[in-house]
Amino acid sequence: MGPLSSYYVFPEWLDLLVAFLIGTGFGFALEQAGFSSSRRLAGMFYGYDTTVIKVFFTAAIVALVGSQLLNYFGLLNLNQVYVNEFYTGAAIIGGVIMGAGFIMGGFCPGTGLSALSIGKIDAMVFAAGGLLGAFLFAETYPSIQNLANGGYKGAVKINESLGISPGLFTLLLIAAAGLMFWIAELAEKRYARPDITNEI
Amino acid sequence: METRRKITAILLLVGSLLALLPLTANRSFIVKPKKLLSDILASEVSYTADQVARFIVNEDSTVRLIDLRSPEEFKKLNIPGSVNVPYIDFINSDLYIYLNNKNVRNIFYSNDDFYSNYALVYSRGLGYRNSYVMEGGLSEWFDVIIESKFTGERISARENAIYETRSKAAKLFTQINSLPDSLKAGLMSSNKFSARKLDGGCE
Amino acid sequence: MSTLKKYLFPLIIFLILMIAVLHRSFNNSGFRYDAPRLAGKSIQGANIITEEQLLVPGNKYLIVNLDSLNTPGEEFYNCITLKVNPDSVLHKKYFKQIQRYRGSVILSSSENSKAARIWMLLSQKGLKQILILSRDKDIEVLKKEFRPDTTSVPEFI
Repeated sequence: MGPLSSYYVFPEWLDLLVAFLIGTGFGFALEQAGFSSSRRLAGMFYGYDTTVIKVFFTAAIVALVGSQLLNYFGLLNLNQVYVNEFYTGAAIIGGVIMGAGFIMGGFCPGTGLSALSIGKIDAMVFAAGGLLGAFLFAETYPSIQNLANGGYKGAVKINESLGISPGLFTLLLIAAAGLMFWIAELAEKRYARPDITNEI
Repeated sequence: METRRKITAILLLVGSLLALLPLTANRSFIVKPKKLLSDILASEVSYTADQVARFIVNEDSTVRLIDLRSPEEFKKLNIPGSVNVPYIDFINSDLYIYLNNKNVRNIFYSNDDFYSNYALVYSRGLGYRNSYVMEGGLSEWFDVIIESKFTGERISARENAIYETRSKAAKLFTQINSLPDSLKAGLMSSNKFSARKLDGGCE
Repeated sequence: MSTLKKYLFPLIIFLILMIAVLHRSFNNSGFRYDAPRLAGKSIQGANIITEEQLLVPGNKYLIVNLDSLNTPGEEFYNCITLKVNPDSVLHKKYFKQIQRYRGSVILSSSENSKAARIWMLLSQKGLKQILILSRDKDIEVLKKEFRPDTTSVPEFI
């Protein structure tokens, strides 16, 4: 029964090896999906390329469905799976900053590293910018601490806040995803940029 | 396009199935009924008050006493070294929080035999084989440990050992439960279950 | 028909999953789903019946006596008594009798621990009408008095 780390204490080297293998797999998946191209990523904002939402959302739904099925068959105890804690203010402001950075730079942190690994110069500058941002955050933390830790809601799950079962939430999310993908396809036709998309 | 439609169809069908399922299936007993019945009727699942007294006197770290009574009753009186998990919380929680350490024998007790034996079957049914009961609960504890006195003419070596253990356990029980509330609270808080922090996150 | 052929693969995946889910739903090792809900009655003592309540006219109970076959059990005028060894309570013959009885089934034993264990087991098998006969009106109440002794203090304090 998973998660395995709840039942066994793994040595540090094994934890790092597993992280390395998962990271390699994730980077490989991003690269082969074409996410090393900043044009493709920026296309999500401009509408001419909606691959990002399709790939990430499909991955999230497959993980959601898979983990719930594993929970049902007693192979995974979802109560033991870590859920990120939610800070309202930090999530909104951090999301806006991250979104602006995403559009300007054409990368997000994960895809930036993926592009860096194939030697892209813009990804190198983006990574340097990211490190600078982290440094500035650490240095200014005392003055932004209240904002960063404000609006603490705990490790909430959406279905719990809505008062519906996890399974019903999954179905609604899948339906929402289908609708979003359909709108995305329409957007791609509406905002097509053959000059950019041919170069990806 | 066809592949996308097929994937969408699979996800929608499976999502519909999940919407109809109760998603706490791992809250059903996992042990087979006949196996569970023979386990719970075996003599090995019960400890007498004398045996529990010996564990306390010897400070046996492989044993953990779990008091299933209410917090008020526990605060008033408890067996030294025990932790309080009210029965209502025990039934409604993920037992992993309390019983996940396979190296420890968890011995349940309450005032009588009901809650402790319900908890025994409940936990063993969910797969926690390290669950046991103290026979008779606190009522038996009082009868055997606190109030019993040797009344015979001659005492054998074995009886002497038993009464000595009872006397030590009774002394410890009386001392701890006679402490003023402030000191008792400090002792009890060190015995609480702390929910194990889940692995994950950035910190 | 052609649509069915086109989506044959997703349908097969779905059917496999459905069969697995149905198997899991109906085969919880013979126990029913949701252990906390089935144990709920034990929390407030709603599964306990006293001798006085038993003698109230109008109800006919089935008493399952769990004591040894040599121990004579109490007989109540409005009850049918069935002597069952605790380790035989899941035998088809006895279990079906208990399951099919139209009315409350009372577990009776000189040892509360035995009755409590069998109650939890049978409740988790989905039997809702099981009660425990208690000779005491108040269960889980400590009748002993503790006399504090403030003169002696533990060594570690």
